[in-house]
Amino acid sequence: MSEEPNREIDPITLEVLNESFVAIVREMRANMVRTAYSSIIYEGHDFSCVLVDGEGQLVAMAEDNPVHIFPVPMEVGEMLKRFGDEIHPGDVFLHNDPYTGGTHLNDVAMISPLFGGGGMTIYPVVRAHWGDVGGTTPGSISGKNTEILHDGIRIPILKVIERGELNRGIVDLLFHNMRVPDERRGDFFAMLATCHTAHLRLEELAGKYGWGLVLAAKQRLLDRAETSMRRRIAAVPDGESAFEHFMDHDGHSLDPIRIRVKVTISRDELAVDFSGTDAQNEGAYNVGPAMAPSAAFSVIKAFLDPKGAINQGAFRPLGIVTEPGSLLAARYPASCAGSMEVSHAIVSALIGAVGRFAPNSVTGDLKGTSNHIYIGGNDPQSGKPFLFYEFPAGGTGGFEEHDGNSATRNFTEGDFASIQSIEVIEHIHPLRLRKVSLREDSGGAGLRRGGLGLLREVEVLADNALLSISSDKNVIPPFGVFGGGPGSPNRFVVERNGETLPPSETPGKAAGFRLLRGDVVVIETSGGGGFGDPLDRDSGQVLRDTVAGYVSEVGARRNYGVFIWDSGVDEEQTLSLRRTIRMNRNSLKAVQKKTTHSKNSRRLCHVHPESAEHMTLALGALVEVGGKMGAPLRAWIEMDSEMAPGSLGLDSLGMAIIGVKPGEEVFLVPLGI
Amino acid sequence: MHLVGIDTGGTFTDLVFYDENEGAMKVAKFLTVRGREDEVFLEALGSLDFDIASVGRITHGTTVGTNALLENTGARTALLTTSGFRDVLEIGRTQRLVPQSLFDSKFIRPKPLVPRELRFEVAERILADGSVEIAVQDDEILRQAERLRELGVQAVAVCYLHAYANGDNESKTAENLRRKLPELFTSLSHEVVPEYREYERFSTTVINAYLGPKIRDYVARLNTALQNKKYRSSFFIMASNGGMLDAKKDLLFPVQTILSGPAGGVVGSVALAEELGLDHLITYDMGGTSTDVCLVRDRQPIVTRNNMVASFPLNASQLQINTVGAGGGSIAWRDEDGVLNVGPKSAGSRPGPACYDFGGVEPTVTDANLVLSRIGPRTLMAGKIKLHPGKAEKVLEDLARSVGMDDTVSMARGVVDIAVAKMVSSIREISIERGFDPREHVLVAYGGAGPLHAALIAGHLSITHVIVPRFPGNFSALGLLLADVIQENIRTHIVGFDKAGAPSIERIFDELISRPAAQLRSAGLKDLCCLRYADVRYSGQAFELTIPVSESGDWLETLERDFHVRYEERYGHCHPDDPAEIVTLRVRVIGAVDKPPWVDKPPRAESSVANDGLEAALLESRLVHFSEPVLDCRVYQRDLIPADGEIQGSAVVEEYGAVTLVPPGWMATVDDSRHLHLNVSG
Repeated sequence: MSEEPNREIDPITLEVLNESFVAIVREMRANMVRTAYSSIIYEGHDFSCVLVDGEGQLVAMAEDNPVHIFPVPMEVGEMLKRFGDEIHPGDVFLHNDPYTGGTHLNDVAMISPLFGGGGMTIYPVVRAHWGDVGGTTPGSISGKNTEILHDGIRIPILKVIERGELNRGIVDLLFHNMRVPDERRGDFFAMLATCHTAHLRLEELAGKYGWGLVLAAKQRLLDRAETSMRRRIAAVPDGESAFEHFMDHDGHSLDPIRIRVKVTISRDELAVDFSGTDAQNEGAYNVGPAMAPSAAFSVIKAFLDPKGAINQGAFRPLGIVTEPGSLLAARYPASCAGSMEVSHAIVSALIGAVGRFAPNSVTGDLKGTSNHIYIGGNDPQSGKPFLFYEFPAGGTGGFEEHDGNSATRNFTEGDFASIQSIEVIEHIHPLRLRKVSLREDSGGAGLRRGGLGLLREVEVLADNALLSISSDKNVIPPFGVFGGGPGSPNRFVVERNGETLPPSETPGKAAGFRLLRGDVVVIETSGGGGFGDPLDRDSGQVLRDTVAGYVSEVGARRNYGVFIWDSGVDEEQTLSLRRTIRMNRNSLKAVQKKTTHSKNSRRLCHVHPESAEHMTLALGALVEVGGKMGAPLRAWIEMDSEMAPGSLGLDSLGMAIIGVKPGEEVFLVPLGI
Repeated sequence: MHLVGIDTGGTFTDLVFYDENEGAMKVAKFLTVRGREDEVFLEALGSLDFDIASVGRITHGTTVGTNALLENTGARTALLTTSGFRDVLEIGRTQRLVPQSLFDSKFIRPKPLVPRELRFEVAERILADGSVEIAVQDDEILRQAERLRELGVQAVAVCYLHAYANGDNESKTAENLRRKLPELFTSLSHEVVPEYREYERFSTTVINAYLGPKIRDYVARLNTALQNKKYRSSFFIMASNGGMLDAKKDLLFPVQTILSGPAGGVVGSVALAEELGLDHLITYDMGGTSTDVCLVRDRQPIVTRNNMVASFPLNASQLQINTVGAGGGSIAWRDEDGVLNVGPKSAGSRPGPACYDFGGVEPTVTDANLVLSRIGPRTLMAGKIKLHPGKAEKVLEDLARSVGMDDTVSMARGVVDIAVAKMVSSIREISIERGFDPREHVLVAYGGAGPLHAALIAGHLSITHVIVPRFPGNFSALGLLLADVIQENIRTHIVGFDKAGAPSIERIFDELISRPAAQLRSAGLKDLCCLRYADVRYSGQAFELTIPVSESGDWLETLERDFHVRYEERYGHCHPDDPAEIVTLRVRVIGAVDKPPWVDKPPRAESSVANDGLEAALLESRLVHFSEPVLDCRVYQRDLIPADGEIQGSAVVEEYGAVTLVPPGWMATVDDSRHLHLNVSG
């Protein structure tokens, strides 16, 4: 940058240039939709465009998918590190390697530097989901992959165009290792055309204002976003908050996967430390180092500064630490095919940890997965293969002012459709939908109820179709906050002749389960976590929920203590019912224990066998421990006859997570599974 | 024939009257009163010094439907749907569809227009091929009707799966409902949208039912009032697709009126293109609260069926009009981080901009233009509202101070620049982002505030030709006089490109045309034009392109060829070897009506103008701020500018209801029809 980036710029020119940057990104998006070859891009909109500066700092994005965008600076950094002075005008790079800033191998990034004013200026990066990048299964993503070579072809930072000359050999090599190479080639050239358009627009802008002013505006916009984020962080009192989140399992053993996080606020800076998170697993549930920062940012931004601009400036006050070799900074040969599930899990962990600092922003937990479901086979009518693919949304969490949304993409996800039209499905696949509805009682109970999950019953009209699923929160449900109840977990079963069959031994993770004609695949997505004590919910509101059928009358009694009689609330019964429920809660006294508190990643909580029996809890039962913080602790029952009856033994971290001191009261809620 | 057009806008209700005897157009503006639009309609009609009974046609652009949707004041509506699917309406495609909801943990997705307790399931099922798996039972529907009556429901949407392929179950349901509840507004999905994709069809059908009673009552009130005035001739409501609907009959599909307001101006612009021999236009309508833009290619406005309104999908034929919250009344403000914004909040007509002195205390785009003297201090807004420059200066000075600027004029310029940037961006969305180069288009500017910003916007888009048509302040109402009656009909019919299938497609086309054609003929329209279209896609894709179907014998081959060409235009590539398929057949039947001539008789003798030349039109010279201040900027009165007059920018042209800015580097001329043209000079 030869021209001084800190020169004065008036507020109006600044707004006009800001609008121009976003307009360029929007035009890039439109260009991709018009020119891409594969439907997941031009219909599913599974791609993102962004402008970065010479150092790879994010300058502008539009309605893009954050998971695509936030890793970009790390990839550009990798380009600068590997190529340094060897980057010339006309060079274009590709990248998808999770270990150096990618997401999963299907997300391929194209970086197209632009030179002007004596150096690299502002330039475009496009990331698109390529339908197939090789690997063991069509589509490349499978929850049963065990090493990255199963996921497809790894592209380290790779110069595919040198000074305007396409390296045909390299491009051919790539496409020869992918299924449906023509489609990939089409998408590649669409990305190239999109970058080219961005170059033209940026050069027009520079022609009008000069690079000096354009770069000065960029600088100001980044600084402004930084200031905004710093102000929001500084408004929060200094302190520390820890949380622990468990994914169900890695698809092979049934042991949970633990993500630990500590968030520290010190004046206007916020540090996120994931130390103590489990080592990379042999399943597909690992990510490279770029994913944790991007998922963490989503929550920090949403809770602390939802209205502020999104560019690199907003990241500056954040420091994020992941341990190399952990599942959040996985190394060769860990598979990263389940990266989206991990990304969702990081979001849950941050809702727990950041929520402490922003009690007014916190929401109940989310579905925690993309819920990928595939049904494939041969269509008996056409004789041709078919592949049905969806990633159905669940309910979102309740929050201080309002109930959660039912069956809706959550606030950290791009806003594209997650289910297909029933009528289209029945036209193009040998499938029939039997039912599509909201799941009654699936929203976490609370002062503000979590949104409901959805239910889809898909009947198979073909012989020998195969069912594959990659999901999470099938065992450990989304949590409620401030005493709110959990949402119902995601659930996938097959109904055959009146019998209910699990498609695998590992709930939520199945590959190639054989379906018979007449089988009904039942897809149920999770409800959002509740907010606040359900016994404080206005009984009239509970009544309205039962009239609408969001909550059953049984659910109203059991979860809300509201007694519905003859289409009305029986206030007297309700009062006494609520009193009884409150009295019968499992109140225990917290005791700090120094012994080991973890077994195969499970957090253990110690209770006397008598107490366990009193609460009808068996050894190893999954429970939720609520204290003073928004989000609860999840733990497994360990029998410990050294404990005094009526007390609960936790280690210091466990106490810290729920914010209680020894001797203080905690509540224990069994998570019935 | 005397003709009347009345267009209800957010701020003003505009009237255009064509007097056949004098061969002249007359215009007037009235302040809109929210919730009492019909009274203002009658006030406007009453202002004519003319016997209404002698008028030959009245056409009305209304916002009653849009407002009912945006303000949630439609009918108490129920849904009857296929057993197992009552939540399709609430689940949709699981999208948030709330602006700026990414990273907003507290976004709230709008509730469906029919609450869950008013959504009822019916034991019936049609399959994808149209076959009936379960037929609807009369007694079940009669029971449902009883329940609807008890619940006080005013409208019902009947939405069954695959009803586009076989509407029998829906029709049978409607018969039984009507037998029991003749007053109930009933809306059937296969009639409103005979196309597949259930969520979009159900949503549209529900919107139709939700708006039905309100629009039916509104139109009935107008009809009664017109009858009382002994008015016997035709009365039309403008439809969202640019055609007219017969308002003397029941409006079966009120959902077609959602863009009734802004459609008139687009129709007027298309007529202008025909008159002046122009092919491609961008229409730019800037009023008090918002700006509407629309792209016109080859004299055809782009019409789409995939629309959104109030976060709900709407599958109804609409002009592709893009609306942005930037109008003359849009408020300029600073957020807590010091970022300067304009709109979307508007001061409307009450309290209005600060310079109206109706009590507005926030700076608006109009205030900024007054501070820049682009609007003269003596201008009467809408022909009647006096301006107070001191008030405008005060509010802009305050705003300037709050962002650390010491210069009120620079602040005012900035407010206009930001509003312009927003409008430029909305035009980019409909042009560049859809693959059209704005430089190939002429910008047609109208609405009270359009002509004031048109050249500035054109400059940003490298558009070199702007037209400010006659009566720009009332142009949407004028467009109402120029619309034809249009009826559309569609049917989903999925079939490959096989010659053997051609006769059955032809038969469906004939069926689709027969009903609307008969209706138009019975309404006395003789000059009918029938257009045929097909939605085509590559087999296996999920979305289609709409391609015109020619009348020639080899229409099927032509259609297939055209599809590849259009696909290439739109997506930059095509696959001529891949099989394509037809998905939906559409027809458009257009019944032409009498229209006024564009060149009406001038209000005064041409000769006197020619003699006096441009000087006669000169009102004053004053200081006007462009990017630089111009000390003696000339201000002209538009009516008096002679046909051969050339006005070099910088200049200002004033007229009733609008002010046109001619910035430096632009030249203004008046053509024979007295439209004002702005061109980049030199």
